[in-house]
Amino acid sequence: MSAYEINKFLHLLHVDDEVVRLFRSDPDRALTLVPLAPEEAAALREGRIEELVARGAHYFLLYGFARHNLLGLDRASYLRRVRNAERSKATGGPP
Amino acid sequence: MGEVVLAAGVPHAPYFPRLVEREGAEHRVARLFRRVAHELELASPDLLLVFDSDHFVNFFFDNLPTFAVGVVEAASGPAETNRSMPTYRVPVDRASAGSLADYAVDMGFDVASCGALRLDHSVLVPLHFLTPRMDLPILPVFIRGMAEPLPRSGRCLGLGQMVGRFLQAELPHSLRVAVLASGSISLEIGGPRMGMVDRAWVDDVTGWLAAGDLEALVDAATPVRMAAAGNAGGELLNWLALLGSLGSLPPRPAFIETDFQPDGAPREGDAYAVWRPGER
Repeated sequence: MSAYEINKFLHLLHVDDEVVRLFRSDPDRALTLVPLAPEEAAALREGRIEELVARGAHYFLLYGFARHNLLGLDRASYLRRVRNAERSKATGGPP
Repeated sequence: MGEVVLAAGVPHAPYFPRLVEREGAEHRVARLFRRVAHELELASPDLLLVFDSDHFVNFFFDNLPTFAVGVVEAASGPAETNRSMPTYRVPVDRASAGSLADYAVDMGFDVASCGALRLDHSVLVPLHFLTPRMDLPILPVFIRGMAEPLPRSGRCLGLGQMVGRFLQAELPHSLRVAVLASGSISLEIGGPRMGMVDRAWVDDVTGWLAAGDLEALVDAATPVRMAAAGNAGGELLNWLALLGSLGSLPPRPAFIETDFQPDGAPREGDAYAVWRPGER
C-alpha cells in the first residue's frame, strides 16, 4: 500500500491526455500503467474518494476526478466526499 | 548591470481566461490584470523573471526540488490535461537562466537546473493577460509551493535577495528586468476547504506587503499558517521572493488591491500588486 503509486496514477491523469482518454474507455488497462496494489486499483477504478484520501492521495491531484468529470464526479459531489473523508479522519471512524 | 524596473504580484486561477472572455473587459479580473499590464508596458522590460510554484507538470513526488531554474530556449503550455485557455510557446532567456543557476549555487542556493521545461496555468494565465503576444522572454524560477515540506519563508526571501543581486550585478549592462510573483494568498484546491477564503490572512499579508514589513511577513508565514490558508497557501512564497528581489528595503507598492475590493464581497483569496523600484 503506498500513497506514492496512487498519486503517480493521479499525476498521469493530470499531465497525460492519453491516460485520461484510456481511463474513460478502458480503466482497467489504464490502471496497469502504474504498479498499483489490487485494492488501490479498485479504489481508483471506482472513484472511492474517501478511501483514496485515507490512503494518502494528494488533494490537488485527486481533484482531477472532478476536473475531468470522471466516473460522474463533479465539483459538488467530489467535495461532499472529500469532506466526508476529512470528518472520518477527524473522528477516527472508517472512511 | 541589469535594472529591476518593475515588480508585480498576481494570481493565476485557471478559469480566469474563460471568465474574462465570458464576462468582458470590465470584469474585475480583467480590470486588475489590465492595470498591471499597463504598468508593465510603461516599464518596458527586456526580461520577465517569474517566481512560480510548479503545479505538478515538471515535478512530482519522485523528484520535487525546493528551488529550480528553467534553463531552456522556450517552453510551452499549459501542460495540464485540463485546459481552459489558449496554448502558448514562450521564449526563455536561456543564457541569463544558466547564469542565474550558476550564480545561485555560488551564493549557497543549490537550485535544480531544468534542461526541459513545461509551463502550467500558473505561469501562462498571468502571461495571457500581461504579455499576450508572448514576445517578452521569461526567466522562470520555481519555488516548491504545492507539497510539503515547503521552503521556509526567510529562505525564500533570501532566494529573492540573491536573485535581486544577480539581476543587478550579473546581467548585461542596461538590461531592464521585471519581476513577477504568481500565486494566491489563500486558496484550497481539491481539499475539504475548497471555496473558503482566509480573509484575516489575506488582510494581514496585504497589510504587511503594503507597509513593506518584511519581518512581520516572514515571521508570520510559517508552513502551518500558510497551510491554514489553504493547500496552495505556499504560493505566498513566490511573493516573498519577489520582495527579496527588491532589496532589503523594498519600496512601498504603487498599488495593492485584494479581490475583496472595492465592495468587500468575499471572493478569492487573491491580491494584485505593483512595485516601481525606481520610486523610493
